[in-house]
Amino acid sequence: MNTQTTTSGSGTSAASDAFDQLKETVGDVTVTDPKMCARNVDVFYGDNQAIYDVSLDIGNNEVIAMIGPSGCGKSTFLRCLNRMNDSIPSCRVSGDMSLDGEDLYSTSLDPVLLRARVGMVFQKPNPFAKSIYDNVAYGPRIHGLASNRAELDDIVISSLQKAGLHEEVHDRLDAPGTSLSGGQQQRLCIARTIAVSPEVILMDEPCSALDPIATARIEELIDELRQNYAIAIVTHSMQQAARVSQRTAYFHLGKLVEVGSTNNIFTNPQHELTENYITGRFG
Amino acid sequence: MTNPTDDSKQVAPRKDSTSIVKRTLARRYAAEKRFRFYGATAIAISLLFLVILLGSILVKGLPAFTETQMLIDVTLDAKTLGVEEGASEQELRSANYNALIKKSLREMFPEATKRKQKKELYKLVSTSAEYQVRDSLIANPSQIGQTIKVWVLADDELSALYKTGGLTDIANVTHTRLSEQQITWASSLNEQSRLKKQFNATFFKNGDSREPEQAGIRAALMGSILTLLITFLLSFPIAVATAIYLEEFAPKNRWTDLIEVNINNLAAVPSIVFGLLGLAVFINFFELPRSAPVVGGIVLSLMTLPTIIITSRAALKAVPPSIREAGRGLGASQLQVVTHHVLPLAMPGILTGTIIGLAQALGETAPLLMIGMVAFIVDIPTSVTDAATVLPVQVFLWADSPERAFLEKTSAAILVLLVFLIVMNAAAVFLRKHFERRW
Amino acid sequence: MDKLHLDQHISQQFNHELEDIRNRVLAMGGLVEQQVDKGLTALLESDGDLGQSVATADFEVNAMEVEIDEECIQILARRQPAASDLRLIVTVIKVITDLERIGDEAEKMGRFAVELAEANAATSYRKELRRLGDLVKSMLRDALDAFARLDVDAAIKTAARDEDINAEYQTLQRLLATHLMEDPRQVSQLLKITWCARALERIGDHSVNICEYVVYLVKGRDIRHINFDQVQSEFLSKPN
Repeated sequence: MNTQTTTSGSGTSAASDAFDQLKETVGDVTVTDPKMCARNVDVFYGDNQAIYDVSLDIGNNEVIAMIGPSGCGKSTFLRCLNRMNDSIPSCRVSGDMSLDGEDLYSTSLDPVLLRARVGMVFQKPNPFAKSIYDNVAYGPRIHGLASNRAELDDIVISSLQKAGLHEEVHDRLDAPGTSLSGGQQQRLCIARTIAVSPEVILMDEPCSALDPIATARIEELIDELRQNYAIAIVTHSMQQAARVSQRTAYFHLGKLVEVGSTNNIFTNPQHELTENYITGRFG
Repeated sequence: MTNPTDDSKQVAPRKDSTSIVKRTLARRYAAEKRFRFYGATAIAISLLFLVILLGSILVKGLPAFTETQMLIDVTLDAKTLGVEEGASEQELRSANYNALIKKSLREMFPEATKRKQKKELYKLVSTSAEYQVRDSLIANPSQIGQTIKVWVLADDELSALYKTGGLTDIANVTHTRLSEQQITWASSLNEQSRLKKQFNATFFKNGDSREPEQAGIRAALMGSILTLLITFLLSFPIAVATAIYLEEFAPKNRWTDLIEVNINNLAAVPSIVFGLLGLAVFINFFELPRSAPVVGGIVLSLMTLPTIIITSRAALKAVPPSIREAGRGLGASQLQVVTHHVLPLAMPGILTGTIIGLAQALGETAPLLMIGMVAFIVDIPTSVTDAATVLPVQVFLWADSPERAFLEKTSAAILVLLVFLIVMNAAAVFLRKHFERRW
Repeated sequence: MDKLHLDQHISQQFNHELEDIRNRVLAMGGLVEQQVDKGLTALLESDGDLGQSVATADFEVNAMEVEIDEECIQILARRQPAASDLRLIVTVIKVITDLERIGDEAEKMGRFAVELAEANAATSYRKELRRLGDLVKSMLRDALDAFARLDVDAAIKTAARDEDINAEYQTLQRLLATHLMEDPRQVSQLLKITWCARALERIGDHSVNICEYVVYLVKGRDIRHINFDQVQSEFLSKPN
C-alpha cells in the first residue's frame, strides 16, 4: 500500500472534480513502526457509507492528527479503532484493522479488552458522577489491575501526575470530578484513560470545549504522553493539529485524501482538497 | 473578485429599524404582562380551590380526631355482673357490664321511667362503654362491690352536639337525631362536667364499625400499607428492569417498538379493567384470597408498571450519552456501564416515577372494588392474605353511610390519606436528595 | 495547485488582504526596476541630476518594504495562514527584502553617477557597463514577471541566466583591470565603475533569489543551494 502518487498533473480542475478523481490517498499511509494498522476500511451506517476504503497506520510514539470538515468520517474512523461504534446497531465495518497485528474485529479480541488497550478521550469532558479518586480508580477497579488499596492509590496518583493534574487536586481527591473546571475535567478524563495503561490513546476533539490556556495544557500533556503511547487525535482546529501532531491525515466526505508529515501538510499539501481545507478556501 | 464597496453585498443595519422596534415594543411588553397576569390568575384560582377543598375537609374532618367521653358512676355489683367475688379474669370478661351501665344511667336520671325513655337514655353512651368498664375492672379486680367513676365513650350524636357546642345553647339545636329529652339529659351531664373531649385514639386503633364513634381507620391504613408494599415490591424491580433492558440492551427493532407501544397503551387503560383482570385471573383462576392486599397489590402493580416504566425510560434517556461512552471507552461492560454510571444518575428520575405511580395506586378505588376490597372489614389485617380494605375505599364506604358522624370520619379519612401521601412523597424527596448528593 | 487561487477564500476580507499584498509587491517591484533603470541611465549618460533623484527616491522603496512587512506580520498574526497562503506571505517577506537590497544597489549606482558627473569624468569606460546592465535589467524584469505570473518555468529559466551575468561580470572585471593598468590616473573613476559592476552583479543575485522564492511559493520546495540540473529536471515542465 505504498501510495506515493502525485495527483492531477494539471491541478487546475475544480475541487469537486478533484474529489471524484480521488482514487488513492496521497502520501504514505504506512509508518516504519506501526502500532495500529487499518487497511481498506469501509464503514456503513445502514445504507449510508461513511468511510470509503481508508488505509492508515498509527505509529508508536507518534501523534497523528485527523482533520477534515464535519461529517468527513474522521470521528467515525477514530471510533472504529476501539470499536466504540459497536453500540450502534446499524454500523457495519469491513476491511482489516489490527492492533500489534491482532485483528480488531476478530472474535479472539474482545471489545472490552480492546478498549482497555486502546483508551479514548472524548470531546466533552465527561467525568463520572464520582469523586476525583474514584474517577481515576474506576478503570483499574473494573479490570482488577490493582490487588490492594495501596497499589490502587499508586495508580491513581501516578495517573494524575502524568495528566498534570495531581498538584491541583491532591488535597481534594474526594471532591466530585464534576467540581473541577473544564480543562481540569478533561485532564481528569485523560488521567482516567491513562490509569488503565492503554497502548494507544484516541482523542476525539479533546479541546473543543476548553479555553486556550486549558487547551495549551492539554496539548503540552499530549506531547509528553507521546513518549509512551501512540496517540490519534481528531480535531477541528488546524492550528492544534499543526501544534501537537507529527503526522496529519486529511479526511473528506469519508475518504482519506492525504496523509503526510504535519510539516509538509501545513506548508505544502499535495492535494488540492487538503490545500483548500487548510487555507480556508471554498470546498 | 468581489468589490468590497459593492453596496448590494454589504450587510448594513436598516436605518429605521430602531423606530420600528420601538413601535412594537410596547405591544410586546403588554402581551407579556397579559400572559403573566393570566398565569398568576390561573394559579390563584387553583390555589383558592385547593384552600377551599382542604379547608372544608379540615373543618369537617378535624372533629373526628377528638371523641367525647362521659363520666358515669358504676357500682360494680357482683350480682348484676353475674359473677362472684374473686372471679377469674375469664369470668370477668364474660360478665354482664351492660346491665351495670344501664343501672348507673337510670340512677343518674331517675326521671326516665318509661321504656321508651329508658331506651333513649341508654343510647347516650356508646355500645363500647361496657368494654371500657370491663377493662377498668379487669385492671383492678378488687373493685367488685365498690362504686367507681368511669369515663366511657359517648354516643356519636351526643358527641357531635357536644363538640359543636350545641349543649350550651339547647334552644337553637338543629341537625340532630337526639330527642329533646336526650338533649336535656346531655346538657345536664355537661353542666355536671360529666362530659369531656379527648384525643380520639379509637380512630387510629380500631377497624371499621357500624357505630361511628367506634369506627377507626387502622384497618384501612394497614390495608393500604400492605397493598402498596406489595405494589412497590412487584412493580419497582420489574419496571426498572424492563426500562433498563428496553433502553440500554434491547435491539431497536419491530418487536421492541411493539412492546413500547403496548406499554404506552397500557398506561392509558382504565383502571377498572385491571380490576376485572385481577378478578378473572388472580381470584377466579389462581384462586388467591378475595379482598386480600396481595391481590390488590398485584392488580395495582399491573396498573403502576407502565407509569414507572415510562418515567424510568425517560430518566435513563436523560442520562448524557457521554457518560456511557466514558464507561465503555474505559472497557466497562454494558452492564457495568449501566449499574455503575447510568442507573445512579437516573435514580432520582426513576424514584419520582415510582412515587407518581405509587401515589396513583394509593388513590385507586375502582380496580379494588372488583376484587372485593370494598368489604366491611372490622379486623385489622396483619398479613397480605388477610381480608382488608384501603383508605380510598374506606372513604368511599363512609361517605356512603347515613350516620352524620360518618361525615367527619370521611373527611378525617381523607386527611389520613393525604398525610400518607405526603409521607410517601417526603420519603421520595429524601431518597432523591440522597442520590443526587452522590452527583 | 499551480495557481494560488487568492480569490477563493471563504473570508472575503482575507482575499482582499492577500490580493493587496501581492499588488503592493508588484508595485514595489516596478519601482525598483525603474530605480535600477534610472540609476544605470544616469551612470551611462553621466546625468548627475538623474543620479541624485535615484539616490533620494530610495526612501520610497524602503517605506514600501516597511509597509508590506507590517501587513505580512498582521496577516501572520491574525489569519495564521497555512500552506500556499503561508508560502505566499513568507515569499513576499523575502522578496521585498531582496527588492529593498536591489533598491540599495540602485541608490549606490545613482550616487556614483552623481560623483562621476561632478568629477566630469570621461564616460568612455562606463559604456562597458551597458551590456551587463542590460542583462541584469532584463533578468530583474523577468524575475518580477515570473513572480507576478507565478510562472515556475520562467523563474527557473530566468535564474539560469545568472551564469551569463556572472560571466559578463568576470569579463568586465578583467577589462576594468586592464584599463587600470593602462591608465592609472583613472583609478578613482575605474574603482567606482568596478563598484557599479559589482552592484549590478548583486542585483542579478537578488533576482535569482526572487526566482527561487517563486519556485518555493508555487511548488512548496526550497530550491536554494541545491544542484541546478536537479531543479531543472524536477520542476521544468516537460515539453509535450
